Amino acid sequence: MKDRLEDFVKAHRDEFDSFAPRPDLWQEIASELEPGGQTTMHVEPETGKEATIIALNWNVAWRYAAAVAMLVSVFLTAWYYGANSAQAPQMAATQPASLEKIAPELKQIETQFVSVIEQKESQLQAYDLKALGMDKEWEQEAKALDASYNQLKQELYTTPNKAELIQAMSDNLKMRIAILNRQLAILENIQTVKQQNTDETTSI
Amino acid sequence: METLEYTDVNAHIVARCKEGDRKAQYELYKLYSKAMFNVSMRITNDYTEAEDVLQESFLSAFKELGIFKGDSTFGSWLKRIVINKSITKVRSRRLQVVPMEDYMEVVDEGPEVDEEDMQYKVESIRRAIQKLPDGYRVVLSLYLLEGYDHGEIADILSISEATSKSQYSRARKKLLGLMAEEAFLA
Repeated sequence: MKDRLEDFVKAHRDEFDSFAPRPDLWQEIASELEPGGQTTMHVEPETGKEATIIALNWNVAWRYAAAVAMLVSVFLTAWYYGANSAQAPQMAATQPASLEKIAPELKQIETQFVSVIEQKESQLQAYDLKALGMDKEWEQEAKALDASYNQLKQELYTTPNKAELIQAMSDNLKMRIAILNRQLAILENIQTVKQQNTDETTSI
Repeated sequence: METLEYTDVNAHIVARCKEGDRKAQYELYKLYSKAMFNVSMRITNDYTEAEDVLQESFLSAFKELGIFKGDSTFGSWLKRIVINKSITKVRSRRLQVVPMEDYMEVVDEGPEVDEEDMQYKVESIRRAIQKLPDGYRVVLSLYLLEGYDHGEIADILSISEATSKSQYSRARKKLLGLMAEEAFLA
């Protein structure tokens, strides 16, 4: 008797395989195969020849394993130290709070000097520098001092000699004030000289 | 079933797998995973279990490739592993202690269906197979889709050939009943 159902299934056999396993299943299988297929070949130790092959494989595998382990540990150590040193400046930038713990006196120094600096700078801005024939040379100096100040601040995190560093920082700020004072004095001089000149010309 | 040509193509890859070549193993996986997954799906009727079976089957196939003599194709050898593992799953899931033969209970096959009027569709057959009770589904799948004869099925399930035949004919009847029911409800 002819079976229509059987014939139909035979004719459409491929269409019945409609399911598929999840794509990452191979990764799981592969990870469980990790020790390597070679070690399992001892299922069939028929000849002595085969046994020696297995031993050789094991020796080679051991060396590879040792090499890999060493590489991994070297890499991890390097990575650990690399990450630590890379993290330090980042912390400095993002966590000023910890700086207060390291050097609480710094805040006092900063507020004291910075307010003076800001005051002097605004005084300088009041002068019309171009009219007085002055360039902003002193600004370059201030920038250099600013940069070295920030550098000193970074060193605070790692320095073994905090007092010296704080001293250097406050000296830096004082130097900036000195520059500003000098600049102000020069501008004042120019101004008075100009004033005198105009006074003279008008009096003539 | 696989042709001779097919065997030769895979013999290459199988040989490389025996040496633990991971690429070759992946080749075989790509070649057989889908078909094997569907074999397991039909027996276990459970996606998660079928995946477990697939994973376990490939692992044990690669590990025991040494005892694969090549007297059958790799595909049919692997398929037997998949089927055995799938049946183990079904047995442990449903009937922890009762042997397979005992749960091949007579299920009401429903009314007679006029086969001449049946319009076969792959989807409706597939869905009806999924609705079959475990015992029926296993025998029917093995016979109808995996291409085993009743002697082989008897061997796989450790039942008699006569049981396989009678179970198949009941399963087939039930299947057609389920399909007619579905067509009626649609």
